[in-house]
Amino acid sequence: MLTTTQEDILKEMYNVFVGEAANLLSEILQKRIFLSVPEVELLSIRDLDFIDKDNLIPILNGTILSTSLKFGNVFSGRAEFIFPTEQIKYVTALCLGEEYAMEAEESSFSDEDFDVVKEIGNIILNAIMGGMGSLLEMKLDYDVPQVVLHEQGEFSKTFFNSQESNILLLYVNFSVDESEVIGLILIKFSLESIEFLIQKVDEISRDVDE
Amino acid sequence: MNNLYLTIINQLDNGIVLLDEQLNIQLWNNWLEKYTGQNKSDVEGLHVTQVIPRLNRNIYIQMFEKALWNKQKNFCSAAMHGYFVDFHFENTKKLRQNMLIRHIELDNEIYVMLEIHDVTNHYERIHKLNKSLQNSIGFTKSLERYAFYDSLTNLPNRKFILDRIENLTRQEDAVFTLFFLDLNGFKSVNDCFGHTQGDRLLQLVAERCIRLTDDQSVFARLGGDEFVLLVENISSIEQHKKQIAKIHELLSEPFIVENQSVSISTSIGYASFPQDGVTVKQLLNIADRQMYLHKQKINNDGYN
Repeated sequence: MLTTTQEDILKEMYNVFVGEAANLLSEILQKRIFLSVPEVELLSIRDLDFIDKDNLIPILNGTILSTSLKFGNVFSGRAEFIFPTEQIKYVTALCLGEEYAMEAEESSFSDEDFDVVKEIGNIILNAIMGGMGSLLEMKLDYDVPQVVLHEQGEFSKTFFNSQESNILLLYVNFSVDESEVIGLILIKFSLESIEFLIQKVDEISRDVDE
Repeated sequence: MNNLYLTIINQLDNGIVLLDEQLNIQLWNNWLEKYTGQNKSDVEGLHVTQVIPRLNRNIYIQMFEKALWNKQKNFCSAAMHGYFVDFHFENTKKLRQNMLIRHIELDNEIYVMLEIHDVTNHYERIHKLNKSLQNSIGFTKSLERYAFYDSLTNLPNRKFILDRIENLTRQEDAVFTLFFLDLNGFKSVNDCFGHTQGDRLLQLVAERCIRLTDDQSVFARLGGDEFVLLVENISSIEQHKKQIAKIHELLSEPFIVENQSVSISTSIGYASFPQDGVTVKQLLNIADRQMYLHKQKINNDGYN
């Protein structure tokens, strides 16, 4: 759905946005934190091909913790930052400098884990929403994200039945010191909003060409 | 500000601070007065960092600026920030507070609202709960250990090895051999050195014989000076002889108990499944009987 140039522009922009978030997180935690977006994809949920489904379904079908926020009126949608649950405890331990112990039993989360994910989600989504607001030259209205624990299969069910059919998928590499965790940002847009975003990206592309 | 709103804000069970564009405090609610011991009349009009020094960091100032001018909202967790305002009573607990930073607009003026939630007791409760959960897991594990392991030598005990043999006899195509070991002259060690030293010798024997084991074998203490070595997937006479030689070799080196050198040998009998027996009882009886014959031979001939 996106040309290579559009994808490259979006990738570069989102890397700048999450870079800001990484700086803020590094300062808060006094650790070296890197965030990068190695891949950006625009997908239509109804027309997902097998490869996309094969890549997405295993993550979305598992138990996941997501922080999500709704934004905008004219330019509207919902952004979700998701971590597979097996990575949450690891992220919390990395951020808090605690020793990580792999749990054999089913994962259970404390409020501390939820709060860490909420704050990380808040910082990353703030950076992304702030950046998108500047790009679109509008103030996007949104609240502090909510954290939700989705049991197995729950998230993907809602995801595939969503009203908004266009998803901007950002793979996020989150690394603390030398350890790396992979998260996913899903931004669902209404059709009008996605057209508006693509239009803005094309304007940048034309400016670059001139 | 409307008195009704002010009354509501003062009834809240969390701290509310309102900052103007210069980040000076415009509102400090009752909860904060009680919590910090600082009256609103003393703090109102002062720069937030003068009253809450922990907020004198770039990250917070940036968040306040972004809240003021970009309407950005931020959540700062106790997990990642610890706390923000000091508690004025003497407190031995580690303070934990969450903070929400919001943009507020009133009568064409813009403000930043800080909402401070004290989660100290909440976090402490969770940590205590986690600790007690860890303790109970530890207790269950120690019970398990007590039931299946010998407390003197830390080797698997009689119950463990009998269960293991029982399970193997139920498996199709299982092949294994049971070596029954009895230390020769252990009684005289007890008589000469005392029971504490006798126990120490058993521990040393266990430490050495554990080297015989791998994922195909188990070395266990049946009781007293009797041990069993269970080895899976061996059946030929050569393999049995090799195993017995290994045990003798391992025990040939003298042990040092109470600075004294103690030499000890062992009588060994064995039984193989399925050719020598098909139940735990049959196998143990045969191995025990063979061990007894071996012991008699040693007593008569004076060698292993």
